[in-house]
Amino acid sequence: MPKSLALDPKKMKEAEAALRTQAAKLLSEGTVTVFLGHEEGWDGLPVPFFATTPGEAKRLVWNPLVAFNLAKYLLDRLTGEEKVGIVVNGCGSLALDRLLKDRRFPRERLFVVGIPCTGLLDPDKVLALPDEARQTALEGGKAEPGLFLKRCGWCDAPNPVVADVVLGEKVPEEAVPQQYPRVEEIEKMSPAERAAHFKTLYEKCIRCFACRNVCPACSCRECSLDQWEPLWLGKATVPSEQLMYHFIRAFDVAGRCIRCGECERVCSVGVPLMELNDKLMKDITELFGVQRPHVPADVEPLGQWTEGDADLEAAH
Amino acid sequence: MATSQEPVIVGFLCNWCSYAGADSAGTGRMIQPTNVRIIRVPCSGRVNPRFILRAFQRGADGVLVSGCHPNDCHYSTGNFFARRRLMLLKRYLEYLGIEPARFETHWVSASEGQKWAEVVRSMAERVKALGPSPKLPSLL
Repeated sequence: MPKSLALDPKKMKEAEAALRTQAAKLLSEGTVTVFLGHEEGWDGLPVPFFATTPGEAKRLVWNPLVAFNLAKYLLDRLTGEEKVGIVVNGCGSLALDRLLKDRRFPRERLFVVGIPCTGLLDPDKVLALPDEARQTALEGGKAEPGLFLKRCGWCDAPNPVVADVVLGEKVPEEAVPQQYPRVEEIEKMSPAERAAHFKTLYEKCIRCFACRNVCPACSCRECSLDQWEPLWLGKATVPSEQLMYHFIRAFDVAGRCIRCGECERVCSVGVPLMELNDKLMKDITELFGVQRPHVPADVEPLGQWTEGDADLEAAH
Repeated sequence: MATSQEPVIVGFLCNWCSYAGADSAGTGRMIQPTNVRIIRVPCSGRVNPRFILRAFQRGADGVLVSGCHPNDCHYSTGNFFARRRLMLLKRYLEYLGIEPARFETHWVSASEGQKWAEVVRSMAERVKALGPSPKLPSLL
């Protein structure tokens, strides 16, 4: 786990105050007409919140539980000329950058408030804690490594990569080697074992499409998997189609996945979806030499080629 | 299919090289197995990885993608993009539990009827040796 991951609730509290001031200022000056952030939900967890008046900006929160990916909400505001404010941390900015690099939202209509990140906790795990332990984690900043979001474990971009203004001190960055232990385990199995592994895990899918909807790399206006003509994906809820859905979904974001693991986190039946995404990222590093495949590049790995690419014909 | 003795291989052939290559193998009366069901595509770069996943889902025993040699693409760069994409897909399919020999890519030019016949013969042999893909319809 990166050293920069020392949960700092005090720093987050300061950032929260600065965020409210900044958002209120942007809204009152008319720089933006809406500000995307989080507010406290009924169960204490932050929920996405769209502030439209300086008064509403007071409801914005910033704490170790703001795991939601706000960038995806920009797609609801594609039409019109209004300028949109958004708050991002490190991984939030990667998601935002993904949409910008995919040219899905005009940069000039955005005002990005960045907050350097000291790590986020998994809301579900924190909510399951006894009251005292929860308080220690959220206010005292003492959390087991297992309480952090999975993505914090491999995070090498705690500072926002896209921001118009950064609130608070930058966090020291360090190189974190991207490792894929789960993928390596599966690779050791025989083909039949692997087939059985994926079948058992993926046939649980109820096709709620939460993984697709939360994914910053899945941003098409109309998803081909929703189409009837051509029918890329059968509508029957049988294992065959569930697996097909996941295999297609993961390959479609190959080279563009930011490894935020939100798909896996929001899955309502607990399918370990990152096993597929991680495999593709691992291979992109091995085959094409991309060392940080999760960081959006101007040209994605599959959108380019070199004469020296591995010879496919010789691979048999 | 799973029940028949002869394996079914779905072949995606580019219009400019491999399709013509397969044609020249035919007009040259070369002996070749009949396992490949050919689908003509404009370019190997046209082959969406979903086509291949879908073919396996619907019970194909093997999938063959064939296009122009690198640097010979009718559209200059189509096969270079395809090469990257399909290389990644090949490893992905293997990871999903589909034996690697079931998916192959070859570069066959319009004049290489001989090579085409050889590609089909050897691939059909390998896929036949693996047997039908009983797992695939239930897996995918």
